[in-house]
Amino acid sequence: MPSLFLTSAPKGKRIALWTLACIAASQMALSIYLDQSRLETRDPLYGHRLKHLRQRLAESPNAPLFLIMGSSRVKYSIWPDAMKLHFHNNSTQPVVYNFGINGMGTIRELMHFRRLLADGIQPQWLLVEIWPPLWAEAGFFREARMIQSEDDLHWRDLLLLCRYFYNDRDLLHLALQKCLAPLRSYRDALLSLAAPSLLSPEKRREMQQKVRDTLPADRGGWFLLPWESITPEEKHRAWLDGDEKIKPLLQPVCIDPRSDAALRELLSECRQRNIKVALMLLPEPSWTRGWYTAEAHAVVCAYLSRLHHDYPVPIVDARAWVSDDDFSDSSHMAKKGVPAFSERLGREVVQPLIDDKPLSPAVLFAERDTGQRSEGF
Amino acid sequence: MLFCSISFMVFFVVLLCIYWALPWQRARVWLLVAASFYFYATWNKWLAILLCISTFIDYLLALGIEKSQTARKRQLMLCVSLFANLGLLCYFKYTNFFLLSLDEVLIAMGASSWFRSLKVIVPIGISFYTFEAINYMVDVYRGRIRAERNFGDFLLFILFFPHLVSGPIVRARDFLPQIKRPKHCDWVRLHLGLQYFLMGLFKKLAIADRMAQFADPVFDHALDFQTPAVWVAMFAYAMQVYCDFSGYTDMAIGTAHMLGYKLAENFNMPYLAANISEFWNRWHISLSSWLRDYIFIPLGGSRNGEWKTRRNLIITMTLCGLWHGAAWPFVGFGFLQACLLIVHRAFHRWCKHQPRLEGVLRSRPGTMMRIAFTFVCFCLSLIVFRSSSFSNALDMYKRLLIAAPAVEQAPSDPLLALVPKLEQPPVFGFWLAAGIMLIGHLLGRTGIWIRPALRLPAPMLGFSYAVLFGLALLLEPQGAKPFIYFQF
Repeated sequence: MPSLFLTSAPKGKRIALWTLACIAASQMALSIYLDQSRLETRDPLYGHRLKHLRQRLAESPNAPLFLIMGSSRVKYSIWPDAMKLHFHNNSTQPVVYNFGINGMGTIRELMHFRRLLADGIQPQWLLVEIWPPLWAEAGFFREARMIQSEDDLHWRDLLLLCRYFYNDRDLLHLALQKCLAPLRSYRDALLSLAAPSLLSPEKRREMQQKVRDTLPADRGGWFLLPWESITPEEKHRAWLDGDEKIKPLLQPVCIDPRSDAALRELLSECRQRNIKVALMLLPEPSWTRGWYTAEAHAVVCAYLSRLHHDYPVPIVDARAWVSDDDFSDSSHMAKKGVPAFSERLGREVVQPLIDDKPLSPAVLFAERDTGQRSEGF
Repeated sequence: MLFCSISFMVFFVVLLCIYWALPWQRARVWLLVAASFYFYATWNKWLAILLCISTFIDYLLALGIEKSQTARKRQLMLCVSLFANLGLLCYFKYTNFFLLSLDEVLIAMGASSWFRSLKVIVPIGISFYTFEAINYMVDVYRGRIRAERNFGDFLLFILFFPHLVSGPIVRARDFLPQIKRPKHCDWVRLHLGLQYFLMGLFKKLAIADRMAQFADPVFDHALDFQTPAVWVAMFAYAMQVYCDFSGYTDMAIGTAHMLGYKLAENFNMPYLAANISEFWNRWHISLSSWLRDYIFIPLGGSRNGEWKTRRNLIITMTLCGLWHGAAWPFVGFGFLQACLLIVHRAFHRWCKHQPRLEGVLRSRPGTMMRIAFTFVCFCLSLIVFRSSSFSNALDMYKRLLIAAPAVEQAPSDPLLALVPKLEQPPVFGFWLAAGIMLIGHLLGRTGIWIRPALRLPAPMLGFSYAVLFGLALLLEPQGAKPFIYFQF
């Protein structure tokens, strides 16, 4: 290989410093380029959703946005186009958009909400899913794990991550690496743009699949559930999966202070920005509701009561809106249950919120539930 | 912490800044000791402590050897040191190998299985630092160097992180005086170190790791592939192992230069060697010269006739194979190298009586032919080195020579046969990496690039280095693979 050469000390110094400067500048330029011009390449999950949302908003210029945020339960269960919303002829119809992302708990909801605001998306209404198994910040749904496996990390996420995951060195290390060394972190994405022939077939397939996974099935951001449990064996396997991943998080229910703080931060920010917010407990099958012990039920009720007291936002309780037959597993609705549920959600929650009318007490989480085990739990 | 990882680069940049900011030479030495300990402890802190303890024992024994008056005492202390160093090496690296081999022999003789394998972790780089400790002890015993009085200096000689885990094998007489020498931040050396490091990084990430994509699947399931694919895999592995190890060595030399230390060159374009003897003078030079000085010559070298020379070559090269790993294929690789060296010696002597043949072989086309022949011979022997067992190696040789039964039409491009019944692998990557390596060798051999490069202004050179760094990161296939020589 090439033999090396010596230079004078002053030139050596200039070369070394120029090398460091060029490396630092190129990484920074690449980071900015990917953030500004290639967001879908850098972060397909968020980039494609944002692009899709922008396209949807572009179809209805000046329309106010009703944004629904939450986990995969939102992503696969709420179909905005199935909501039969009625508007006065002279008013601009709001755009209802489902921004559900797999495993999104309160910290990631806050993170993505901040990203959307920074990218110029200003919702007028926000419907946020709350789900007790995501409050523990432990087990399968631990958000640090979800962020590492699902999200890409941007410069603007760093402060938030440092506040919420200051003791998670792996996550912070990953975040820093992605921000400081984008060439290495996004090598595959860059090669897929510049020289796809250098990628292995498996990697190319994986990247194409990743993009496909981020494209919603309809204009309202709803995704088709990619798995359906139909046969009794499949349903049993799905039950076992829930028994392993969800049940331990409900016995007992733990509310991690970070999860609580993120939700409160989100609610405070919405209050400051005059965004109308509602929280929502999504449908669960009866067996999942049965996993809540009396103590768990009491903890959930007490927490929601406290939250409602501090932030008087409506808390929609839709836990028992859907029959067991319409569930694919312990937490996700099957496709056949989605239209009816979405239609009811539109009629009983979205329409009144848009019309600025109070929600019916029948759909609201009631403080009287505290201490007694309702059908829901 | 791999040299090509971002975490190492951050570690090294921080260390470098603190190191040159310190005004005291002794503080720098202890900083390097601490950094080297941390470097090893990130992998396993208990083995890092064990390494320090064994180093301390060697330190005391060397002082004892120097102070003792009688030859018997000196011999005894040398034996204790050798026993301790080789004992640790054998325990960690070879115990399971010997136990399992013995067990296989007993089973073959009809007995039941007697031995259970021990659950031990092989410490990274144990073969390297054991050889360094041995060369120090033997040199002190022979009176070639004085025993080191300062424990910090001696600890740094063994622990110095650039050479700790994969060499080059450093000689005490070369390294210890460097520790004592006053140092100042020298931009000439920093620039040189940067060049070495970037070249090593590029070799490792852009060439070695990419070639692994072509070699690994074939070596794992040779019989599933067609003959051209096996040939390609063999050449790919030859390029992988060279760029992996020489890339590591370049990075080690580069980091050492930036800290003010000079490590010995370990490779000198070995694939341009015109015969196998020359090859071993260009390949893993620090190991070859160690084996020559501490095994081959003490055995008698080539002074006692041809048969004893052959015997010494077989012992030395077989031990060289065993040094690489505790498995019979490594032993077989060493033995094959010995056979090649013996055949070359015989051919060389025969050629001396054939002036016309020798003239042809020494001509330019003849030399190119010899280079190609040496390269192919070494590549063929590497099959044994890379295979997990002799039967796997035999499968490779079988497929090299006998075409697979034609199930379907063979693809026109041999590389397309690499992933049977799947889709086209990234063939462009193979030719790109091979082309870069060939051009690199040609440029290195002729040196024609140096004069124009020297004329380039500093910003341009800095930009070129940044491009080289970027290309290394960009062309790395999928996550850095561990260095092959880490396992040794």
